[in-house]
Amino acid sequence: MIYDIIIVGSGPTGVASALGFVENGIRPLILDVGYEPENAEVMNENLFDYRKNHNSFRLMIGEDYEALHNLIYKKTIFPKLISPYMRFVIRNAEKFSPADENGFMVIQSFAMGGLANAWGASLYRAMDDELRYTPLKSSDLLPYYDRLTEEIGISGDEDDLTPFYGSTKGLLPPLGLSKKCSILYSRYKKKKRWLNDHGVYMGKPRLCVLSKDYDNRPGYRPDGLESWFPHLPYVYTPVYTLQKLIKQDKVIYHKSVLVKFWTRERDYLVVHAEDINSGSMHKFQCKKLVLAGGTINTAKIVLNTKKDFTTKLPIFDNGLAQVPLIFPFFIGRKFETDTMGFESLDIVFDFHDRNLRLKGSILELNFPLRSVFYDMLPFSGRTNLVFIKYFLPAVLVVLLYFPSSIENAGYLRLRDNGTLEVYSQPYKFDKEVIKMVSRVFCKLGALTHPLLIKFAQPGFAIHYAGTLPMVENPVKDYQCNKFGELYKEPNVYVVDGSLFSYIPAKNFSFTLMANAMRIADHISGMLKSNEEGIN
Amino acid sequence: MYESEAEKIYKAIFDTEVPESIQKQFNIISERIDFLFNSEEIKKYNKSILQIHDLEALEVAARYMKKLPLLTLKFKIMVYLGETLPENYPKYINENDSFFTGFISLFYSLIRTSYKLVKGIILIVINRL
Repeated sequence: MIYDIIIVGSGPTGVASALGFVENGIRPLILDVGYEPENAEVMNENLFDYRKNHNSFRLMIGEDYEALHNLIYKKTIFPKLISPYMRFVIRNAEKFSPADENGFMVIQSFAMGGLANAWGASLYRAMDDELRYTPLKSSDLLPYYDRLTEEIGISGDEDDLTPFYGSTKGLLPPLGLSKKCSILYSRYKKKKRWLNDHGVYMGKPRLCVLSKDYDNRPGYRPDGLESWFPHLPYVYTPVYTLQKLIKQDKVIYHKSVLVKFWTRERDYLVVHAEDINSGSMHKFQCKKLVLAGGTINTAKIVLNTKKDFTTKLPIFDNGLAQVPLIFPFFIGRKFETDTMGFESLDIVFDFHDRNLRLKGSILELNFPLRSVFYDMLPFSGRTNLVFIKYFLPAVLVVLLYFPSSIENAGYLRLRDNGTLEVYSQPYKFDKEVIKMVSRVFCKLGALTHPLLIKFAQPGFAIHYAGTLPMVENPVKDYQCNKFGELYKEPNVYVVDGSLFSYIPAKNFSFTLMANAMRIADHISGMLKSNEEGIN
Repeated sequence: MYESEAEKIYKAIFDTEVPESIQKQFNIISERIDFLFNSEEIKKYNKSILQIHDLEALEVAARYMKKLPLLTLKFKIMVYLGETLPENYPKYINENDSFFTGFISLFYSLIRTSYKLVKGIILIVINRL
């Protein structure tokens, strides 16, 4: 059988492109490894309340001691993946796609829904200046942003960040704020004129967390589960859309296969994939192939197809700094067990004179496994526990994102033994900018200092991009045209982060999804016009 | 060996006897991690468990002096395991509003940690760990 479309991967871009094809009346085949949660148990009560009365070893550490991963192994995984219930997200990633990391942290997922199972849930539209290096304008993506907003259910607000986050069309009301965030926001409003004059703006994030019941899914309830369990109905992940499409028989989902490469036969493509259970190879034929395996895995499939073990493709990630904000009068305060595990407030630093725009996601330190903070404290065992108990309730953390581009890219190369070599220099953070950021937070009444700020290794933000850039007129291998079609590889389309040679200082997933849907629309149009031509 | 380790480390962190469930969990994870360390590191660790009474002091000093990595790791593991017991919940989560209690506790703990650090350094030097 020759399929019209084969999509590789079921992450945000794979599912968004599938939705685009379905809405054009095309039934794509999705090839995926497709790991799912091994334990579907979901609690019905507040996680902290439960732990007050029950032994939570199995829940918090896991029967196989999964939560101790970061302590025992040298390869660190980010906090949300510590949960035993989230471990399926990265299951066998190192086996299927081994990587030699040299200064660049590689995290891959072969789960249904990909890394979005553990995402930070923030979804932002891109402004025109944030689509630099691409042949796109934000107006090209507008209808797809609107359609996806309707599909996903995004909460947000019309506020000072609207000029940076774009249209508020279709947004659900914003989610509530914790006490510290409320104080910070009210101080911002009082000092707004001075802050705005210095290019600082604050407002509500755009989150795919439902603030009210929507599309047969319940609104958010403060139960502390969002950092620990996957597939909570009030947090959107692409799995919801995918499962809906599978149920409606509008896509064919073939799981347990790992796509390796493609070949060509006459006028169609043959996708070669390994059955992960038996190890046998399978062939799938299609007219058009859509690569949505994520920046790293897509690059690997392309390089493997070309048997190219020398080319170094560019790769980069957002720079990320973690800024603690201390509110001294909250020392000794009761821990708020009903705050949200996602960002509550956003802050944008728009430094015109430096042509630099940063975005900070402001979060409560309410991660349910409190022991993870033990490692970050410098005191004796018992004193660390005292600080976890009395001091952490007085702290917010800002994840401060820096824009990144092909200019500070490292590289990715496929070795002939199948291992990826991923290299990056440490990112350079402008000390003056860091000082300015600290000053702004002090102006807002929160204590911080540049020396307290931690800078993450490249790759830690997991906003990978740049390997197969989209340009107006591709002239060389590994470039794609405006519709993601690979140079000299007709009918092979890339729809994920690989296409972008610049990523702004904010989560780019929503833009990647909208772009994937735009490309699906374009391909559908071509398929239809070909059929009409034949008829 | 693992039993006495669990007892001493738990006591050093939580100041109570180690519950049986934690002891079992600690033994299982200890068997898995010991092979990550070389024999010299394990020997020094065993010596410290057998000879030193104040493990809290030893651990904080060892952390600063980049010594006894196995002791540091086992302390951390015990902190994680200990958090799963409902009786330890109040040691991690503050359930009452009191700036005064919080401030005094932090202040006292900082002084205590300084004392433990100095004591730990002396222990390491004297015992040649």
